[in-house]
Amino acid sequence: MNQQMPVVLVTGVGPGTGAAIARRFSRGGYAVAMLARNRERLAALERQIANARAYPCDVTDEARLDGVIQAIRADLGAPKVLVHNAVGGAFGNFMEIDPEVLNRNFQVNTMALLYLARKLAAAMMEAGEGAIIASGNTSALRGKANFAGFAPTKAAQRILAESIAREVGPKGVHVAYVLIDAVIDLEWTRKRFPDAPDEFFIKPAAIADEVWHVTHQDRCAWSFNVELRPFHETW
Amino acid sequence: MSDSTSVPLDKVCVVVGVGEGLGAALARRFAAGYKVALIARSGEFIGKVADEIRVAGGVALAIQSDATVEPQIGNAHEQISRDLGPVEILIFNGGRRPMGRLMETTPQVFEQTWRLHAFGAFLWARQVVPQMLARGSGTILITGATAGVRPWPTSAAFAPAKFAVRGLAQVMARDLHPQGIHVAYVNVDGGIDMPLLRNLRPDAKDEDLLKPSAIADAFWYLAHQDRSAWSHELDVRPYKEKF
Repeated sequence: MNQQMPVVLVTGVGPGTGAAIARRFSRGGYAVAMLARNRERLAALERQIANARAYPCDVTDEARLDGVIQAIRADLGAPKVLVHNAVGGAFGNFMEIDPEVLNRNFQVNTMALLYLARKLAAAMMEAGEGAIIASGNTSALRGKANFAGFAPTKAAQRILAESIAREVGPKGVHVAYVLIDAVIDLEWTRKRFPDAPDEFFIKPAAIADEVWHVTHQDRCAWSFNVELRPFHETW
Repeated sequence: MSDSTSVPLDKVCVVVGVGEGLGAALARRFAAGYKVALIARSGEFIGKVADEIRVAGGVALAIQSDATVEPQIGNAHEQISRDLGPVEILIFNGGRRPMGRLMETTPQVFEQTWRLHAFGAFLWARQVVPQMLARGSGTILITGATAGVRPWPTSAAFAPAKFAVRGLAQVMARDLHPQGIHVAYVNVDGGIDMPLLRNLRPDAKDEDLLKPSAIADAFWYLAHQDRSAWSHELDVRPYKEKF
């Protein structure tokens, strides 16, 4: 890994979308800083993905994030791209959920985006280029009964991203919200929907291609809202 | 995701509404992978662009046709099917944008604008969709504008026309996506760099405007998304644009 490679910081690197995004940017010539809480899983991905390095941490711990970002700058260089893919979820209506769940998800989904953007955007603006991509989903637009502990945090995340976009866009930093309106093809979602055909799911690699594409748009034609769903999805 | 160099020129892309701005850029971009049909009300400019595409090694057919007159669309589609083959991609880029507040807009301008943007897209879609359904594949891309989402007060004719075509795009997407046809609406949220606009805004800097070729890249990208991850509405704007 050399310091000449552009650096992407990806949060929430698990077996699904996060790993696919890490792979896509690695293939495109980036050094990849992978953040997640699960140390073992990250270590395994570090061995599999070229020019990727693991930084185990909890993205809601702002002090810890400072140390991680310092380490990334020293190891790889200043991140040119941030992909905030970490997500805290919950299922249950407003009476069923533990109120603390909503607060916890707000920390992961919204506050962590704020922390990371505040720490990384200045260097991007100084360089006159950079990208901040948040991965969202349908809950950013719509509160269903059983998403009371989750949808409010995704809606807040989308609006935060939009606020940041309008601030840093004219300074050369592209912010986009990739809204995934689908069930992602993962081991646990396959178990939950055992009878669903392949076409029911969105492929992590297809999401990663979209994140890659929006990150590299010509700056005369930037997208903010990018929604994705399988052709068969009802919406 | 297909790369232009690897696509044989065996499929057909129709670009309806080819003028000096985005339409020409779309025709040039898709000519890298498709036989293109260029449709406009006046024949001179599309003839020039078609010649240019052929010189560059592409296949192009220019057809003078008014997108608001049903029999003309039927004839154009028949000629495309006969000379090039079945339509894989329809790009509806039709229409001018008249400026005017409510009382400055005549009923004729209002109706004509709606015909050009909404009715034209409806008529063209009805031409190409049956064959797409029979194949179980196809793509329909529609050029949108800020006025279709958040209009200025001076868009009394233009905004209702754009809202209408955006509504049609959503209806078609929900109807046709599950049947294998991808429908997308591209909200071009800014001024396009073309002679007409440069004349209107002589002070505009390059970075204030969208390059037609960059917008055309976005259309190309949409047309080649993996069907497990289709976008329906995509916004594109210059990095400096207020939105």
